[in-house]
Amino acid sequence: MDKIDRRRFLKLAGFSLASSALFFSTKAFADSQRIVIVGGGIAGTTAAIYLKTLVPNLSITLIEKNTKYTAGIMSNEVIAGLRDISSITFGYENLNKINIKLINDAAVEIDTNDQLIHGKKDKYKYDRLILAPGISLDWQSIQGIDNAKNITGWQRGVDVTTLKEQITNIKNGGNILISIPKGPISGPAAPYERASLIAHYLKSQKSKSKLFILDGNSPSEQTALFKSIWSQKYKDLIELQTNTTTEGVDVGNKTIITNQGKIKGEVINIIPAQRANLIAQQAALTDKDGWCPVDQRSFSSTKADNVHILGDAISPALGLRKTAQCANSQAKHCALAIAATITNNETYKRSMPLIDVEYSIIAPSYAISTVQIHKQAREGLRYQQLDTHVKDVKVADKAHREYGYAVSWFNNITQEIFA
Amino acid sequence: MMYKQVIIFTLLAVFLNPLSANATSAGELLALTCSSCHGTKGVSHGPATPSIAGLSKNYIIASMLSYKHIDNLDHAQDIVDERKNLDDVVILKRSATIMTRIAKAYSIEEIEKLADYFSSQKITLAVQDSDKDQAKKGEKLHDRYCEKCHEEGGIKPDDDVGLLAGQWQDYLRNSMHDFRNSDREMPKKMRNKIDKMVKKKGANSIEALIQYYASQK
Repeated sequence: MDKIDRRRFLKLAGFSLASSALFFSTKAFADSQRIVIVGGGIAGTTAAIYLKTLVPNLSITLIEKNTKYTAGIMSNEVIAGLRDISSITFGYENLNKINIKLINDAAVEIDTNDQLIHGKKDKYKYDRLILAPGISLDWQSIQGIDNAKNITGWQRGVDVTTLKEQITNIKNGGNILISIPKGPISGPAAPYERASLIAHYLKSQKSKSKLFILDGNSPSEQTALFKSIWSQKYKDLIELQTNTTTEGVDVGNKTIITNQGKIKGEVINIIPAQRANLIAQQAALTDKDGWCPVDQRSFSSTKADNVHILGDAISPALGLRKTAQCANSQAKHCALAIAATITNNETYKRSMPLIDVEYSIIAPSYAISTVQIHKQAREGLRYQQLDTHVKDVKVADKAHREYGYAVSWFNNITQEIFA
Repeated sequence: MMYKQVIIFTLLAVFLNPLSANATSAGELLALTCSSCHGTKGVSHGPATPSIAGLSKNYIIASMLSYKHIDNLDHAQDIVDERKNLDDVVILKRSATIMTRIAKAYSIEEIEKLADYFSSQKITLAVQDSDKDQAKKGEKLHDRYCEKCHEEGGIKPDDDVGLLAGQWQDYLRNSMHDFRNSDREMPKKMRNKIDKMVKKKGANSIEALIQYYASQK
């Protein structure tokens, strides 16, 4: 072996050693990259699909307790009798087609030390967990409530159709009470949308009835917006009481007890206070307020390694709303961050705006929207909000268009992840 | 023998890397945000939000900039004029309920990347109901008044023109409403043609055109 050959050989050998080390480590890495997603709502399903799109040979498993997804989006149209529940129900068949493993099981416990999920049927080991568990309802804050019988309309499926029946069966002159808790909820404008659509039903079918909103929160930009619309469209049909916290309920007398006094109603719809789903609370992934703190770029938990948390369960400290669109956007950001880490691909590291749109339907062919644009702040965890305008709500023509866009958004976002 | 091992390991390392990323452009990643409203790859399921797949690069840039700078369109025109590759883009006023808010999130560089991505996506015609008789009338009107710029029945969105064939009819109707109301500025040629058509064939002729475009499958 002459000098040059030896040098070349050593160089090649060195490269080869590095490559074979790379080979073994990447192989080991691949084996150590079992991605498990818990929760097949908007956030979890979006994350599964886009992570698979970005890194096609990644092993991805989605654990979901329901065999079908029933959307929260448009569920108020179901309650008001404007839409059938089948139109907001979707299957997960598309996931198999792109080699995402779907497991029909309910996750009951997460061990973040052993990186193990205990389901009702089986156990699942993960190397990286994406937790999109949604919310749990906090019944304890309301005295005398029978949580098995209280219809919230926040739990999808039967909960929604039962509320629809109650509204349909109300006698002309019977009152409806909607109680909104203080603090963040999934679908921040959803109770107001619900009130609007029920008022639309009352206006044509039960004009002697009235709807009372007992809102635990202080008046806001949102309440002002809806109030101005209601004063035109649903005058004397909706009465809004802010700073009114529901403390208890007298089921026998159909009465809600608030900090402002008692109020009676034929249909009582109490939406309880909310927190991150119990599974996240029990796995110690939540802060003192019951929400999950996460890093704003990758949505990885600040409480446990190799865990990302998405959607309604994350801490309000980030400044993101609990909407379907925001969950969808978060999932795409999270998928990009994970893809960047495991493939070492710099392209994925780019930052892009996180856009959140919430449509509220006021009546058939009449909707409004609020937009929030977030860009990552240089420091800290908080997203920086750029724009939250509400425009043109008084112009009927624009509201008609917004309705078309609301329906289009619903069609496109559900086709994006369930077709 | 050593050499052999070296080569084998090297080949293995290169070809069996099990976690390869899909090749994606910056524009494609940015476009992920758009799909929940405009459909995956810009193909909308309707009924009102338009498909943006296959629109021309100039059209997308002009639209985004006029949304973004709705209060200062001259500034928007300056932005494109300063850029050699965009100096043929003409900014015309466009109104919107939601895009005026969303466009503010994007820089001109990002808008260009988005335009590159969506302009290279395949056009998919929307499947929707349409009125046969109206569509027939519309076809004749199109040939006479529109075909010169909106070539081949409005399916060729070149340069500054939008996609008409197979576009969602609610969107086409909203657009024509805005044009007629001066909420959206028409190029001079278009204004002349539309004025002429409405004068001669009546205001209903616009709906006939819309039905013609909606009827194309």
